[in-house]
Amino acid sequence: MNVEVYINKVAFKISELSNQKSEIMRAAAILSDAIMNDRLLHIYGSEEVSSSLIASHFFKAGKPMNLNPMFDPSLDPAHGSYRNTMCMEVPGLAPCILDYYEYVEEGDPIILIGSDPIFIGFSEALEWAKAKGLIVIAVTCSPAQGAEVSLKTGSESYADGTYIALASTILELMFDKVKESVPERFIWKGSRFVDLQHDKDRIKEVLFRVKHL
Amino acid sequence: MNPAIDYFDAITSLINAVKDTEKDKIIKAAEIIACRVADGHLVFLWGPGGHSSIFSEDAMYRKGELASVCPIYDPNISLSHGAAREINGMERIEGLNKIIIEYNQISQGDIVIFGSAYGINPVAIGGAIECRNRGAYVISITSPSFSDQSHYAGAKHKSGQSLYSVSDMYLDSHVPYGDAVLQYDCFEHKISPVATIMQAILLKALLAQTMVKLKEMGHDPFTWTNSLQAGGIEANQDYMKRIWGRVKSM
Repeated sequence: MNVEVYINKVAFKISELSNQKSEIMRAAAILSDAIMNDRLLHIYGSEEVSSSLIASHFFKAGKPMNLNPMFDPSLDPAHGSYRNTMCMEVPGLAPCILDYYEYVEEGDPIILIGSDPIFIGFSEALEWAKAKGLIVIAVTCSPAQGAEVSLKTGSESYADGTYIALASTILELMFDKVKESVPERFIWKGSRFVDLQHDKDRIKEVLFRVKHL
Repeated sequence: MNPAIDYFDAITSLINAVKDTEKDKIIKAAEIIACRVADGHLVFLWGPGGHSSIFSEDAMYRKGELASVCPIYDPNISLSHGAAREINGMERIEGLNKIIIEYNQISQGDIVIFGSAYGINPVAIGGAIECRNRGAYVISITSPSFSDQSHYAGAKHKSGQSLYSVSDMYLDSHVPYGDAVLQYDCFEHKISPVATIMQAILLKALLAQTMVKLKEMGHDPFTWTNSLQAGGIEANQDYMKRIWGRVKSM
């Protein structure tokens, strides 16, 4: 692919995200409200790539300390991408992964990231979240039926080379708005990494509530 | 009341029972394994359940142990990523078994030694069936009486079958139903489980028998040297190079 063509394509799609500004703001308001009510912000990526996007927001300076990633070895490339890709199509796997998280309360928000909402790993996660009474913020290529807020990446598919950039931008915009909306004490401190000394006590606050901290 | 001594006595009694009843089957199983190893096949060790997976880890890359084994360490079927996650969920998901088998490339002629006292969960039963479909020979270390008394359908394979009934042969671990063996008035139910120990002991006996059988057949089975002693890593290196790419857990 021509470099300029690709960059223009990504830049155009990113600029189009401004069409969803009100939805992004609404998602951020849901997350901010949850933080103010001492709720966890659950976040789950239904495929290997979608799950990996979470890492740049979890336990990072400037990001919410209440973020509760639902990571699983079934989606972790360290355990084999071939294996993970096969796992994606196993019925019942997503609910089994999500059931493992104990601090999930009715009314909590959950961000579900998936390249395509029709994939079973995503659709079962959404069904699971609705059954639990969670507020679903979906980040997907196409509209996710049943989500409270459905944010569209605008990618044609996971494979069109724009999905990661667009999904990451949506998450960045959403969390940036959250950072502006809540008191500083709910946001990890630090310049590049979380300041472990400064946030020592706050780490203890969520260390056992957030499984992967 | 002396629980420690009671536990030793219970384990000793189980080991003696296994020694008496399973010795002929161990000899037969070792012959089968030795022939396949001599032909270049691997011996997969698979404990398709939370605690069951422990016995397979014990045999890997260990001084004096048969090197041509391939323990299956699957992160979905292991306690290492959450005990409740595995026992209450993952081992009951139909379909994971085929993924694990495909990922580890279990194929025609290989041996797969399953270890599971209960021997009922969907991954175990589906796994044994799929291994046999692929032409592997399945030996189970399991407790048929335990399986036969396990009636909770929510934890079982949809066929209702047990590991011993879907294997080519099985070794009876004699683990009693419920796993725990000590009964005291101060507890509502029995305490102190034995399944892991019994599975490990049967596997050790079987691999010892296999290594000697290979020698008797004129083969020289590679056994690991202690990597924690001087020259140990070097002594293991050549064989290790031979199985890189075949043994995922190496």
